[in-house]
Amino acid sequence: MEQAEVLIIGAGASGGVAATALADAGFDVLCLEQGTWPDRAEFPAQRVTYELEARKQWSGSPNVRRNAGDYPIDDGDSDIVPLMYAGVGGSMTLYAADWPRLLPSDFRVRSLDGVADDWPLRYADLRPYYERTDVAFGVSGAGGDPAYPDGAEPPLPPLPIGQTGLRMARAHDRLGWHWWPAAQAVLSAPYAGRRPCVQYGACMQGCPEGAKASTDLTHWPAAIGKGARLITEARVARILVSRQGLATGAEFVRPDGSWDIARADVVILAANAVGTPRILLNSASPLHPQGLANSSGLVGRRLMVHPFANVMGYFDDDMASWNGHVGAKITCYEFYETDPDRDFVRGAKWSLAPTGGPLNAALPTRAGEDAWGPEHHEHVRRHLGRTISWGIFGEDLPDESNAVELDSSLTDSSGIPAPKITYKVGANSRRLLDFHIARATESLREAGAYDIATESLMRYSGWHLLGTARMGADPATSVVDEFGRSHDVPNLYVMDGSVFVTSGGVNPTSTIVALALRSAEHLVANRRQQRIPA
Amino acid sequence: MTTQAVSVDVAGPADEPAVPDECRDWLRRVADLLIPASETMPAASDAGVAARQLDVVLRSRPDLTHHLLRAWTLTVDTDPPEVMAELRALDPTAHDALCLIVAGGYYTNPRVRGLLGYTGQQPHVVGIAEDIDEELLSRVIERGPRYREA
Ligand SMILES: Cc1cc2nc3c(=O)[nH]c(=O)nc-3n(C[C@H](O)[C@H](O)[C@H](O)COP(=O)(O)OP(=O)(O)OC[C@H]3O[C@@H](n4cnc5c(N)ncnc54)[C@H](O)[C@@H]3O)c2cc1C
Ligand code: SF4
Repeated sequence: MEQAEVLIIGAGASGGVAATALADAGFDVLCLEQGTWPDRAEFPAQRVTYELEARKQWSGSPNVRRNAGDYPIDDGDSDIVPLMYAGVGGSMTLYAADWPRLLPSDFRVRSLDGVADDWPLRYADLRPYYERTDVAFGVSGAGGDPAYPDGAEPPLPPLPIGQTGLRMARAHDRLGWHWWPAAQAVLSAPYAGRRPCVQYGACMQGCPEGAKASTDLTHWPAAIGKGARLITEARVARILVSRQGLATGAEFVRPDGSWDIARADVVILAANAVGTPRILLNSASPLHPQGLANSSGLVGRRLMVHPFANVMGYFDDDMASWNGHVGAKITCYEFYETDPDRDFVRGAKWSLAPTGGPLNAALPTRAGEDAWGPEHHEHVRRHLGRTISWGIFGEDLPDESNAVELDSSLTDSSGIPAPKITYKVGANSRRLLDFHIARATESLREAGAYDIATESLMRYSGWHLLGTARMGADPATSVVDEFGRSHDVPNLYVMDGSVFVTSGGVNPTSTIVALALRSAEHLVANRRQQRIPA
Repeated sequence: MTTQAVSVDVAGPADEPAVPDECRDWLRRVADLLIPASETMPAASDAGVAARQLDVVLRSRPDLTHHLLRAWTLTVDTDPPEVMAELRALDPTAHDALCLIVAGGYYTNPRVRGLLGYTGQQPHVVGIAEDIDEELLSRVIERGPRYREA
């Protein structure tokens, strides 16, 4: 049996930040993580077979990858496949490290646009935490972006924007449209004992240099130095609750298959927006038949994943567009805010990313069509290095029928019920994407593209998992309060991407970690008022 | 069995994936239809997709071996030009695996990568902010804030 003051479930983005803040404040912290520590020597970036491995053992889908630490997900009823990684660092092991913040309007969509709900906090409340997490993770970027309110500059200068970034920047200059060097959680210079990016262009299969920030590098060593204990290959099945309605710990499976208990005064869920509702629903008991912390009925509901479109332009010249960090070279917020003249509300951020190596150029996933036989070489020549693509992250409005539930038959290898995802792209999102695809096409044409290919909804794009235990002031319409504390179980917290009220139209991790820091520090500041089991 | 294939292509370390020579012969014929030679690029078989490059692919992706063997077994009586269409109808998973094996073998060949001028996945020192045009950036700022106060 294990025992701690605070038990954290999940050692990913939010888990690492919460553990560091709590261990710093002197709490006795225990974290249970189903995956293992990443081994940078195993990352495929420098192997010629990198693109082959990316499609199997380094896939973002646990169903494809099937590592020992993964649980399966029934995604047959979802338009978009959920992507994640199990291990210390969590999904940051594979993320692209594109590091934008939400915008002020993202916190106020009900007040401004009459849809969804406002957040119980505003951009200004989160700004100091954004600035501190930028420093902790080592963010590169350029200050002064007019897409955002003023604030501190990123701690490191921007990464190269490359030939493709420059070409699109010039095109947007002619169009009078916004562009800016993208903020990335990737080092442009040595920082805090870590080496800078050397542009392998393989960030989404793990960064062998450690230039890309993930909590296994940026947080866990410090947390462990302060006494936090991290048990890997420990799979949590459910949270245990006393008759008084307080969380008392969790039941988990060790790597040898044996079941064990971790007792704690406070339990924090940091298992991501699929893993957290799965655990809460698996924690159903005669006292909580609908699942734990679920008096609102919203645990697992309102899943948001950012429907994603890709618009690719073909150019005559070789720009080596496979080169460089994968998140984004430049971004565009020209059409981010709601415009009443459009037939949808809210908007999307565009990211300009590399377009992949030779295997990507050869296979139909990128091309949209087979090109074998005599045309094959011309087909590869057209794609490889001569394409530029805008990735469009559209805001996803919450819908209670988009949900994480428990599958009726699927389980993980320990017999713990696995999640089932139901997700349909909404009508507003579809119109939003269509509008943005048309604008991105104009942008690429302005830059000189002679042809355009569009992927109007990418199925393997469920990188951003949000909203399945939303925060709010009213226990009838939200699962946790603005500091992640469950309305129903006062010593149970959610600190991962599940707490998002709305999704915004930007990559979420900078916001996830800023919120986790704010919540953890609130817990520290209010430790004397915190109810705990006797 | 072609003895030449054994001596030229298959000799190698003991951990080589077990793919019969007949299967490699079949793969060579099918692969050359998928990726024939051009004026500048070699055909798939000349790039070793049924030989050493196949071993490279299957060592990194052992899961593909049984799809390859299944594809071969299903189409053993089929004329090479019909193989892909037949597999697409009979067994799309095997069809896609075969495309991946052929392209994977071809584009992991260093000579092919050299001919394409592909130098990705090699370290390059990052020049700090050296390719950002300050004039362009200042014009973005001059155009004013893009966000709504809220
Ligand atoms: C391929 C890819 C690319 C991405 N690119 C970007 C990007 O460019 N920018 C961006 O902002 N975001 C990106 N993301 C998303 C980003 O990784 C996530 O938003 C972020 O990691 C989520 O943080 P989290 O703390 O909510 O969960 P995670 O980081 O997913 O951590 C959850 C942890 O909990 C563990 N866990 C789950 N269930 C259990 C259990 N039952 N028992 C024990 N442990 C458990 C998991 O193993 C995992 O380690 C990307 C994601 C992927 C997969
Ligand atoms: S491009 Fe940079 S951040 Fe990405 S894997 Fe390579 S070194 Fe790491």
